[in-house]
Amino acid sequence: MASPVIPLLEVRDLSVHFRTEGQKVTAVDRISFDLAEGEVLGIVGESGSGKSTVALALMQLIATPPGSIDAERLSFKGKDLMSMSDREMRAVRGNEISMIFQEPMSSLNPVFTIGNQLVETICEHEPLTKRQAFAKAVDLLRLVGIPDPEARVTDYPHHLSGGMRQRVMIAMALACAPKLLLADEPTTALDVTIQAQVLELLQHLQGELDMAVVLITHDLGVVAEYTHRVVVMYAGRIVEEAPVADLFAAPQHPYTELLLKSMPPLDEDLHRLLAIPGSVPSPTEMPTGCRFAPRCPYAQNICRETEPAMIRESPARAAACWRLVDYKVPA
Amino acid sequence: MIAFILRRLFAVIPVLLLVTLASFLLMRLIPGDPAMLIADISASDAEIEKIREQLGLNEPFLTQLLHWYGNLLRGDLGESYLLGRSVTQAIWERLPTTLSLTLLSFVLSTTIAVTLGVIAAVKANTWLDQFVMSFALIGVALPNFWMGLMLIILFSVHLGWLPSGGYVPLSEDFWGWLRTCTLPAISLALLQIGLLSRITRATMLEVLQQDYIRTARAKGLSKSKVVGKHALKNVLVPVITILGISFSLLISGSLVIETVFSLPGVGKLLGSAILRRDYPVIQGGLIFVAVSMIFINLLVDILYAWVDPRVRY
Ligand SMILES: Nc1ncnc2c1ncn2[C@@H]1O[C@H](COP(=O)(O)OP(=O)(O)OP(=O)(O)O)[C@@H](O)[C@H]1O
Ligand SMILES: [Mg+2]
Repeated sequence: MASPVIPLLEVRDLSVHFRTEGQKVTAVDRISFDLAEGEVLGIVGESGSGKSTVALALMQLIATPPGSIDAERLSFKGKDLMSMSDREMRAVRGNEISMIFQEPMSSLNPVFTIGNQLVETICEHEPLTKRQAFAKAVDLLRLVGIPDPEARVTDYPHHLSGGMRQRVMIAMALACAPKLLLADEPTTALDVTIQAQVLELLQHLQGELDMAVVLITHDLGVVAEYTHRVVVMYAGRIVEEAPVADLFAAPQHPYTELLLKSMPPLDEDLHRLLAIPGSVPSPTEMPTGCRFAPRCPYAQNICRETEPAMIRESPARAAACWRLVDYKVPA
Repeated sequence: MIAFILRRLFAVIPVLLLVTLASFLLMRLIPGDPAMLIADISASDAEIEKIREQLGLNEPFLTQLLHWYGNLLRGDLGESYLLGRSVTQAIWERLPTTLSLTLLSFVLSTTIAVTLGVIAAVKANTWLDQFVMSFALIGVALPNFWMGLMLIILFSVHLGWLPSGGYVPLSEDFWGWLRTCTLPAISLALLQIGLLSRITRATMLEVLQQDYIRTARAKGLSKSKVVGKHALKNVLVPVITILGISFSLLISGSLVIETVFSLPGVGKLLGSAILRRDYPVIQGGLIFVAVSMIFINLLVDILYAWVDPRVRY
């Protein structure tokens, strides 16, 4: 696996804070990762671990206030997203970086037609006439597998099912052939059978358009099937990063290990994570040491006192756990 | 859509019947004999009996009712006791004035209120928001006749910019019409601006939190498009439902404001009819007000269905 000279996306020490009622909450805490062109990266983690916040920060769509973004480096194609003006950032959004959201039922504007919302995106970034953009909108709907696109293009969102709406969202996100697609739990809200269809579609289009994809999910089954590399998040931190095969073969972080153990058998429909004992710490009461220590079956004293750093075993593999340090430097 | 409008029109019929029936009954419930009211104090019993005969008061109740509906269908609301002309004619003559006043202040209040509400929401919790909302609060807190008097003192008495009363028909002179209508329309609009801008602000704040707004921003749209297109149309949906009530308030407000600015409108007609117990005019005025409110609400329903595609028709 040859890593490219310049990664498509470089994230270094990205933090996102929210200030609510005088309290400062750190939703994402000094995370770093790279993404190559055409690569599919999974981000997994329990609810509240900060996955959506990462995606929104990449889009520069965190509301400020109450939010604030800090980053050592946040560059896309070598350009720093943090220092872009509002106008420059708007030229990136929906054009070079697109996002699909968790909630297909509410993510489309109810009072405009599907066609109107698609045409608007196309015309924002491409020098096409309304008529050309409309023809392209119909093509896009066909591309995402919506039957009878000429008729559907004049429909309003409430005419469509959740799965169809998510297809429209995908069509909208792909309208300007982005280099990077952020898919935030694109199928969580859909029926199981529809989930697979939508993910197959995404995979197909990813190959076709050679996009990089950040696929955010709760679901390790999805990770195994559709991603190349995985980042595991816990309470705003990245705790492990690995190529997909390695992660499933030999998880290094106890949290990943428990996640894998809690995965339901493949023949069951229930793809959601079974519970790991205990719960994610509230962002206002973060433990001092390793954030997973209170739930970790291997926790030692050091785990509760000092936060472990990311130990990088190879360019693509790293985890933040004191056990790795112990293995490397036996006491 | 056509079928929807027709269905709504049919639904209006029973309401109209009820309203007209109520106003008919109202006339029967008034204490005293209408014939006595019309007749001179010195009139003899025979003369009063003759008037009673003329008014059809000696007919059986049902005959009177049918007669009343028959006249109504021909647009005949009876004769004024005092004006020496038919009620329909009296209202018809004064209608342009009232329409000018209410429509002008409707347009003024709606555009100003929506603009203010949107600005306040977009700039929520800044000094601008607070300034705009305090202004709106003044509009709600002060009665409109008082505002009218204050405006007269400022703009007519002290500055002499605008007339303090009177009316120039639109057909005669547009600028004259605008000059005579501006102050009354503003005093009438202030309350509406206060109410509507607060509702617009609250709705806009809610809409701006919606997922589809985030989607619109994620597409790379400018803030003006996100607010002016995606948010605004969603804000208008609930605001439109209030416009019906708002217009009803304008009509009842115009009754007072026409008197303050001595505008020869339906409100002034009704006001003096009440003072002088000109019952046919009162009755006609009530029917006029009720019917216009019914049709305005019908219009609002149609507008609502047109703006919000989720409404089934
Ligand atoms: N606008 C906001 N204001 C305050 N806190 C926020 C805001 N957005 C997110 N947070 C906090 O940030 C943390 C991470 O939220 P985020 O939505 O990124 O989690 P997630 O991993 O996407 O969860 P899920 O799987 O449920 O989607 C949560 O604790 C949440 O309370
Ligand atoms: Mg999320």
